[in-house]
Amino acid sequence: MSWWADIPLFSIILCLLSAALCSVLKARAARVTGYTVLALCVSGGVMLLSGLLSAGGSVTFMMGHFPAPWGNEIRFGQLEALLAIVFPLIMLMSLLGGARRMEEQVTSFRENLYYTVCLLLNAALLSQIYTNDLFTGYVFLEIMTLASCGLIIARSKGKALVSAMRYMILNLIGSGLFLLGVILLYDVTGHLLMENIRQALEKLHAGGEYKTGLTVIIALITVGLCVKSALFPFHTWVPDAYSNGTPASNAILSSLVSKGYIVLLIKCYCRVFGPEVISGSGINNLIMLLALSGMIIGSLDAIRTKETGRMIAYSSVAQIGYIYLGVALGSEAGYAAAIFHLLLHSASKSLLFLSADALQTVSGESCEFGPLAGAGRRAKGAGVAFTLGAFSLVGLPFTGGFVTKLLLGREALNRSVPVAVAVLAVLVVSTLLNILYFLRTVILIWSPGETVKKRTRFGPAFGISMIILGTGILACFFLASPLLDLICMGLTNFS
Amino acid sequence: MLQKLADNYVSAAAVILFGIGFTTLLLNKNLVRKIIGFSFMDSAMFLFLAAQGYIEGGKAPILDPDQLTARTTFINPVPAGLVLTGIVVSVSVTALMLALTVRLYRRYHSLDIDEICRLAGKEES
Repeated sequence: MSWWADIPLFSIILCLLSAALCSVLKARAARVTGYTVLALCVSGGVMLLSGLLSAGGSVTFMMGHFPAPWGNEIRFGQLEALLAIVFPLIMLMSLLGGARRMEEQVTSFRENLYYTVCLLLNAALLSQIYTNDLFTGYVFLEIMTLASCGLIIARSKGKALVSAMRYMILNLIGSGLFLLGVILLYDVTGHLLMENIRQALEKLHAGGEYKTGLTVIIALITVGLCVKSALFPFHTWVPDAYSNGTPASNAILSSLVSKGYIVLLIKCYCRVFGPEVISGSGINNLIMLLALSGMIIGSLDAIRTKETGRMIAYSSVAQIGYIYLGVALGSEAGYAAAIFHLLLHSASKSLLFLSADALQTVSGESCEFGPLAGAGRRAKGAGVAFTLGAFSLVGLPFTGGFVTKLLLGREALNRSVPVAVAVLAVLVVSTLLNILYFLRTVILIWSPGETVKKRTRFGPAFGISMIILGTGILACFFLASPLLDLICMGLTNFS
Repeated sequence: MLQKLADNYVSAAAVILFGIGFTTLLLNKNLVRKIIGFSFMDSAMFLFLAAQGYIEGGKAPILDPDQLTARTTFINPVPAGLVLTGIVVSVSVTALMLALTVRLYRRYHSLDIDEICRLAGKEES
C-alpha cells in the first residue's frame, strides 16, 4: 500500500490529539495550533487526492489489520479526498474570517477551548467522510453534535444558550432515530461494515424478505439525518442556531455541520442500501416532496424576516432543499449535482455570514436591514464578497449556483413529465424568490447611505478568507466541468 | 400476535420505553424531564441491542482453551461492545445537556423551555 493511504487515519488522529492539546494551551498558542492542524489536513487531503488520481479506484484501510467482518475500516476514493480538502479549508477560512471577533465575543468560554471544539468538529467531519462502518459513523455524528453545540454557546449571550438547547433537543431526536435505524439494520443483516451490509441486503432484496422492515430502517435513517441537516419541515432550530453565535461559529455551523450529515446520508444510500433497495422503498418521493417544499418555504421565510443573519440562515433551508433534490433524483447525475451544490453552498454560506458581519460592523452593529444602507460603500471588500455570495446562491451566470440549477434542471428532464414539470416550476419560483431577498439586500448595501470618516480595517486574515472563498465560488463556475468529472469519478468508486 | 409479543417481550418493552423517552424529549416542557426522556430513549435502544445479542444458554464470550468443547455456546460480543460505546456517548450528551440546563437556570431561574424562550426574547428587545 502506498504511503498516502495512511493520511486519512493520521489526519483524524492529529485533529483529536491537537484538540486535547489545545485545551491546556494559552489562547494564542491554541490559535496557531488550530490553524496549523487545519492547514495540515488540507495539504494531506491534496496529497491523498493526487495519490488516488494517479492510482485510480478506491482504497480500503483495515484498522489494526483485522480482516473484513470483524475489524473497523476506513475507505476512501477521489470524492472522499475532495471533501477532505474542502471541509477543513472552509473551516480554516471561517476561523480566519471570524478571528477579529474572537476576543470580544468569546469571553466566558476561553478562546483555546474554541479551537478544541473546532478541531473535534473537524475530526468528526473527516471521520464521517472516511468511515466504512455505520456505528463509527454514529459515534462521530454525536461528537459532531456536541462540538457544534459548543460552537453555539461560545458566545455568552442568553439567546445563544436558548438556541443551543433547542438545537440539542432536535439533534438528539435525530441521532436517536439514526441509531435505532443502525441497530435494526445490524439485527437484520448481522453486520456493521457497509459493504457487508450491502451484500446481505442484496440477498434479502432478491428473496423479497423483510420488505416492511427495510422500509422502516431506511425511513428511520433518512428522517434522523434530515432532522440533523435541517431539511424542511425539521428546520425550526435553524434560524436561531445559525444567527446567535459568533460569526465564525455561524459560518462553520451553516456551511459544514449540516453537510457532514448529508455526506453520511449519501454514503448510506450509495454504499449501504444501493440504488435498487432505495428506489424500491419509495423514500426518494418523500425526500423530493420535502426538498421542493423547503426550496419555496425557506425562501418565503427569508423574505419575511427583518434581520440579516436570520435571512441568511433561512436561505440555508432553501439551499439544503436543492441538495436534497439532487439526492432525491436518485441517479448518478443527481448525486453529482447534490455534491456539487454541497461544496458550493459551503463556500457561499461562509462568505455570506462573514461578510454580512463585517457589513454590520460598519453599520453600528445593527442586526436589522435598515442601517445596512450604504454599508458596501463603507466596507468595499466585504460588500463585494457579500454580493458575490448572494449572486452565487441566486444562481446568476459566472457563479457556481448557475451550474447547480442547470444540472438539476437537466436531470429533472429525464424524469416523467409531472416530476419534470414540478421540479422545473419549483426551480424557477425558488430562483425568483431568491432574487427578491438577496438582490434586495445587495441593492440596499450599495445604495447611498450615510458615510463615516473613519475607515474600519478588518485585517489581512479577513481579506485572505474573503478572497479564497470568493475564488472558490468563481472556480465552481469556470472549472465546473473538471470538478464534475472528478465528482463523477469519485461517485463511481464511492458505492 | 399476542404470542409473538410474549415471545419477544424484551423487544416489546424496549419499544415502549423508546416511545416514552421520545415523546418526553420532544413534548415535555421541563428541561430536566427532557434529559430524563433522552436517557430513557437511549437505554431502550441499549436494552434492545443487548437483547438481540443474547443467545439462550450462552456464556460470556471469554475463550478458555481448557474448557472449550464443541458444544460450548457464547453470546454475541459485538452488541455488548456497541452498548458500551453507546453508553459513553449517552453519558457525555447527558452531561452537556445538564451543564446547559444549569447555565440556563442560573440566568433565567426557570426550567420551563417556553418561559426561558420568552425571557430570552424579552432580554434582547
